[in-house]
This record gives sequence, C-alpha cells and structure tokens, in this order.
Amino acid sequence: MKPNATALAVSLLSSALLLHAQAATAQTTSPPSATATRPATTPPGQSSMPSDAPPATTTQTTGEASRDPVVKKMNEDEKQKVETKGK
Amino acid sequence: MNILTNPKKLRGFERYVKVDNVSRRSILKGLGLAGGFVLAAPVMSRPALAAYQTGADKMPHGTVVDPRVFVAIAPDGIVTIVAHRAEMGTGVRTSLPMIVAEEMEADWSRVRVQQAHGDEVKFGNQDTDGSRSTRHYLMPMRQIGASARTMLETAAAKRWGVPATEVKAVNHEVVHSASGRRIGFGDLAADAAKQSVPSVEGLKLKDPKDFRYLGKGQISMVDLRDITVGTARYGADVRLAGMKYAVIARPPVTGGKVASFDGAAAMKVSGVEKVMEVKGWPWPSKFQPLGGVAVIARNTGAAIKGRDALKIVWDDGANGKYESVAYRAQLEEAARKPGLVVRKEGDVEAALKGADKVIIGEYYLPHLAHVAMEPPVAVADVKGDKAEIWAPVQSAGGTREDVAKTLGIPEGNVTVNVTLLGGGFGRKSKCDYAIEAALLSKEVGAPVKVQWTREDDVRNGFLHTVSVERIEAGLDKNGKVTAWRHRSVAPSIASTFAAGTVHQAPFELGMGLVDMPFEIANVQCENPEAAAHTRIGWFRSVSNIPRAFAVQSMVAEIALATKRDPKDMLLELIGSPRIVKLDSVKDLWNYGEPYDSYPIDTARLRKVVELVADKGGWGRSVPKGHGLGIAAHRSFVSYIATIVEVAVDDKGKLTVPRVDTAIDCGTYVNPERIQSQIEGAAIMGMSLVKHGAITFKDGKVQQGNFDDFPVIRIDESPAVTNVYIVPPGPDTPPSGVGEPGVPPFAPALINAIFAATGKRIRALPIGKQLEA
Repeated sequence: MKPNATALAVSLLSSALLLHAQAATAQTTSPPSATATRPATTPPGQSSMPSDAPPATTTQTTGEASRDPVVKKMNEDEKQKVETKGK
Repeated sequence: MNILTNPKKLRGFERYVKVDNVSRRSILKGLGLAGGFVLAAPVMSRPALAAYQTGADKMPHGTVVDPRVFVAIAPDGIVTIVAHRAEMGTGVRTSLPMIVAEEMEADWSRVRVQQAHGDEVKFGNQDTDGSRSTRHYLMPMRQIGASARTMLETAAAKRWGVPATEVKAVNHEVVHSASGRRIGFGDLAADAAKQSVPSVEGLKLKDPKDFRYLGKGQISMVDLRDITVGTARYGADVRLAGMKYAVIARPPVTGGKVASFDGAAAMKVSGVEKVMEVKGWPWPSKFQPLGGVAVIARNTGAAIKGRDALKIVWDDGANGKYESVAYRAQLEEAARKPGLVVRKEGDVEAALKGADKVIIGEYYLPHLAHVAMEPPVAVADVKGDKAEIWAPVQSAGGTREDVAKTLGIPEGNVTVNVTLLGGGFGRKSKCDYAIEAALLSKEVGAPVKVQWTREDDVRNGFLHTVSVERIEAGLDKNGKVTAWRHRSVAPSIASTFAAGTVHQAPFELGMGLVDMPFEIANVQCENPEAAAHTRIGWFRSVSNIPRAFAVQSMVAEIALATKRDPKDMLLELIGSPRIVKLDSVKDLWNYGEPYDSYPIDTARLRKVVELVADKGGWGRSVPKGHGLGIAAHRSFVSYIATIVEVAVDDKGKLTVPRVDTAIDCGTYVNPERIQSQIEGAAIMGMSLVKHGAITFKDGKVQQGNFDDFPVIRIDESPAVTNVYIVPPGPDTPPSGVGEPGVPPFAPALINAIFAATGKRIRALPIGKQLEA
C-alpha cells in the first residue's frame, strides 16, 4: 500500500513536537542522582607509616635483588633479553 | 624488479622457510571448520632472511622471522587466516592477514581473521611492540600466501588434466583461460589439502603491479565496524559464568608493602564477598604484581566501594621520599658533570674550548603515563594446574610464560586468549594484571576479573622515564657546528629487572643519543648515573621522545644564534648523503636490526625534510601569532620529518591549525594505517607536550585521572594533519610505523611556539608557560 505522504508528514511532525517537548521537560527537571561509582581520589582509610627513607637521589639505588629464585631467574632472563634485543 | 619479486634476492630466505601442509582434523576443529584445507608454516630458526635480513630471527622463541600462520579454507570458500600479533589500533590484525590474502589471490570479502592464542612455539614471536610486526613478517606472510595459491592451482590443474602452468588463481577461484573453466577455492579445498607443499624455491610471488590490496589503503580494519557500533570485544567485556570481580589496593610507593590492613568495613559493603592480601614481590621483579589488598565482589562497583572502605597502613619502603622537584635538580646536576662516555669521535673537549661560541641547552621531560583508553584488565580461570587467561596483552607468549612460572605450572597448561586492546603504547607489554587475576582465581577457586581503575592505571603502572638532556654545541666563527656534546641522564628501563641499575641499556642509548646522525667532526655522548625510584617501562617510542625534543630544539636554537633558517640549519647538520659510521659506539642496538639492511642513511633523512618542507609549505606566510616549527628524527629504522603550525593568542592559548609529516618507512602494506598512526602520534605528541607530567611527592604519584593528567580534547587537536609517504625504492625493506611519528612532534611544536612568540620552552609540559 502506498504510504500516505500527508499522514507520514503529520506523523513525523508530531514526533518532532514530541521530542521538543521532551527536551523542554528535561531542561526543567533535575538530573537523576549519579549512580556510577567513582573511586576516591585519596583513599580515606589508607595511610603510610612514617618513612625513614633517605631522599631519593640519582646515585643511590633502592631496589633489592630478589630472593625468590623464580623471579630472580625471570629478572636475569629479561635483563639479558633487553640488553641484546631491546625488548 | 624489486626485492619482493626478484627470486635471486629471495634465495637466502627460501633456504630456511619450511612450509608444511598440516591438514589435520584437530586443527580444523580448533578453527571451527568441518572440512577444507589448512596450511601451516612451522617456526624455524634461521640466520638469513630474504634479500634484507631483519632482526626477527633473534627475537625470543624461534629466532624467527616467519610465524606459523594457519590458513584454512572451508568448503563454502571462506578463508580463515590467523593473526598472531595483538591488535591495539595499529591494524596489524588486518595488515598481516591481508598480505597472505593478497598472495593467495583470496577475495578479502571472503576472508575471516582469527586471533591466535599465546603460543610462540607454534606462531613465532608474538611481542607486539618495537614497531616491527610488518618489517619482520612481510616476507613470511607473502610466502605463506604464495604456497596456498600454488597448491590450489595444482589441485585445479590435476582435476582438469591440464598443466599447472595453464591455470591461475584469480580472486578466490582458479581459472583455466584456454577452456574458460573456473572453480572456487571452497570447491578445491579438499583436493588442495592433498597436494605437496611447494618448495620455497619454486614459489612465484605476485608482481607488485598486480597487487589489489597491498599498498592501496582501501582495506579497512577487520574490527572497524564492531568497534564503531560497540560490539567489539575488549578485555573488560569478557564474562564467564560464576565470575567474580576484583580491584586491588596496591602500594602507593614502588617497593612498598602492606604493614597492616582491616577489611571489616569493606566486607559490609553490599556485593563484597572477600578481602584478601595479594602477594607482591620486592622491587625490582620484572612484571610481577606489586601486591596489596584485593576486594572481590559480585560486581566492579561493589569492589571499588569495598576498596574505598579498606583500612590499610603501608610501609612505603626505600622510595618513600622520592620527590620530583628535588630529583629534577639531581638530574640537572648530574648532566653538568662528566658521565659514562658512550660515543666519542674527535676531541669534543678541545673543540668546545676552541669554539667561537658555545650554545648550551638543558631539556627536561617528566615521567609520563600511557593512559590508554582501556585501563589494564584481565580475567583468569585457574583450575588445579591449568589456567586460562583473557586479557588485552601485547605479549601473549610472554604472558603465558610469566603466568606459568608464577603459578608453578607447566606453560603448556596455560592458555592466553588475546582480546582487542583499547590502546597499548607499551603499558600492556607488561602482564602484571594478568598475573594478579591468576593469583586471585587460584585463591578463590572461581574465574576472577581484575579491573584497574584509571587511578590505578596512572599511579601503579610502568612510567616513561624522567630525563634531563644537556647539549653543548660549539660553533666556529662562520657558524659551523664543530663540537657536539650530549649528556643524557635518565633512570633506565633495566631497573625494572636489575637492582643497582644506574646507567641506561644499549637499546635506550641507541634511541636518539648515540645514533645521532649529524655530520660534526667532534661528537661525544655521555650517560651519567640515574637511579630509578619507581617502575620504569616502555612508552611509545621510548627514549626517542626526550632525545628528539632536545636535539631538534637545539637545531633551532643554533639556527637562531647563526641567523639561519631552521630547515636549512637542519639540512646542514644532517650533512651530505651518506651511510653514518658509528665505530666508536660499543653496542649500536639499531632497533635490533642488522646495520647492512637498515643503516643510518642521511639521504633518506634529508629527503623527508625536503619533502615535508615542500608539501608543508615551509617558509609560507602565516598570520600574526602563528609560527612554523620543523623537526626530523630517525627511529625504529624509519625517517620522519614534521612541520607544526601553531597559533598562540595574546592570553597564551595554544592551538594547532596544521601538521604536516613526511614518513619514509620503506616498503609498506597499508597506507591507510600509516596515515592513522601519524595522526594518532600527533594527538599523543600534543598531549604529552601540552599536559603530560607525572610527579611524585613522598614516593607517591600525585596524579590520578584525566582531571590532573589530561590528554588533549577535540578542541586542542590539530585541525589538519597531512601525511606524505615516501614511495619505497626497489630495495628498501619495510620499517617501523607505530612509534616513529611521536618523537619529532614535540620539538616541531616547541620550535613553532618559539617562532610565534619568541618563547623558548625547554622543560615540558608547556602547562602555563605561555600564559601572559
């Protein structure tokens, strides 16, 4: 059946008016309260013990060699790999 | 005839590639196909490749260049090609299979791409980093495609009883022109599977003039539609039955650990099921987790709320006093004293003393965070001595290896499913998040998804290093540069694997320091000590960023001092067309590539400068408040030159109306992807120059999200980015594309700002430095 152009135009126009009305309503209605969870910028329940670390310098290293034999080997293998292959 | 078709040139490669017909039911079943034909090329160790040897054979797991690629043809004609590298927006999941499809004359619309799981014995090296996927795999993929084509043609010829020379594969079917007979790939699949795999010597590659896909830039990414309409599957989209959701409170200081914690309040949050301490390892420990306290819940929101309710006291450890302002002063002090000499030609000391003028520049770049749009996330399901992982990882094989070692189970019992990556930039080449998920799954006896929030991503990642680059350039009375001393001080990535590291590794030194290509008689490069106090990792283009920033800024400063045009100054310093010899450099990494194949060729560097100057209209008139800056850099064995036009208003607001970039990346496959990567590099470059700074106080990262570590928004983005790709010469191997666009952007922008305002910025980010 051939669509009735006039009916279609009226239908579309009605829709447009409806959308506009909805938009007008939205502008005057308060936004719903936020439901998304945002992590705290600074976790309130977390703190650090007083630090007796020395100031960080370019010459004083602070890492410690791993005592875990598996990770020690992983470190050694990766070091060897990046020194020869870059990655 | 170029290296891609010249059989003589291919001979070295042919000797070492073995292409097997592996039509096994189990493989077909694994690919979800009921019948058809599968072709695999086993990884083989070999010392020589193609006409241009690459460093692919030295990569882990195979010293291989050619991956084992599975090509399957179903009876309905659908061709499935396995992508063994991770997709993080570079398009490699499209480009590498496209090479296969091109050579086998497959109709791309009838090709499906299947992602490989982590298995480097089967597929070859899977590290998706270093801008080397195409340069290492162009030839192997062509070989695989050509083998498949040959077998299809042979099958058709036998069926018709005609010589194989009379048939030809064309666009998903094989044709016998003399009789007009044709047959589709699907109908031939079963017969093709019965053919012997052709010897590599006998393979005939397509003439590039017959390419339908390679080099055309008309194939969009296989995932493009899914990404656009939101049906693409990333790590966070993985859902398993019974899956738990976890977030982890990690030590805020590198090397720190839990002193005590109280999870009672967290357990009261609706949805939270468990609170537990996560194993961490003392730093440095490669990519092992930092440890901390995990909250495991029925959904991510509950887990996050539960984590906020945790009470934790941290022992911050030896890095508890790391502070950025003080550390920068330390770097600057170190840069003003002699350091480890890593390159020496002539006598820089004497030349500087005898110079008519010495220009000194100190350039500072702070730590940077990757902030890929997708924060790290991983799902793990550990059952007994078996583990299955779903994660956006750049290194599927490395992830498999590290998960296995951490859990103490055989590597063969670990399956790593690689999802799409919502950006990687090097952050996701470290699998700490996958290991975390595995540890938690093992503990709770259920699948666990560990989701990193943006704050976790910014504060607990592997940062780009912090650096001071000091350059002293000595000029004679004619303004010619006769001396160049460059001291680069920055903590090394190697500190992530080796305690006590105070110098950068050869690969870091080889990114813009010892490979500096200028034609200067007296050159010395030094690397003073710099200890790390946080985790340092690879970041897109790595040490090239601070080095190019310094070197190319200094070029413009020399141009100003000698009243020369910056582009002319740059060309004068690059010097005559030649292959640069760096005999004084003990270990020239050269991006892992043989120097014979990928020398430092100043002719190519000159060419991109000249091309961008021509196309970008260098020297054109610009409105008041605008300025043009130029920079050029070789990295990942490609050559790039960039012109940036800036506009700075009277309040210091900076906009970028136009960027022009010329790139010489040798033989290329997908120009649309090259354009995309250069456009993206401009966005990333703009972000890091304008806003990028991760700072530390009391050992803790001060930033957390895009409010204090912004990336540029649409209104700050370059309005126009033009990309000009240098057509490759007949013998030019492919070189990197993913990273090289980043390094020259910062100095080109900074030089443009100087041209517009007279302000020379030597410390990034720009921040408020332009404000009146």
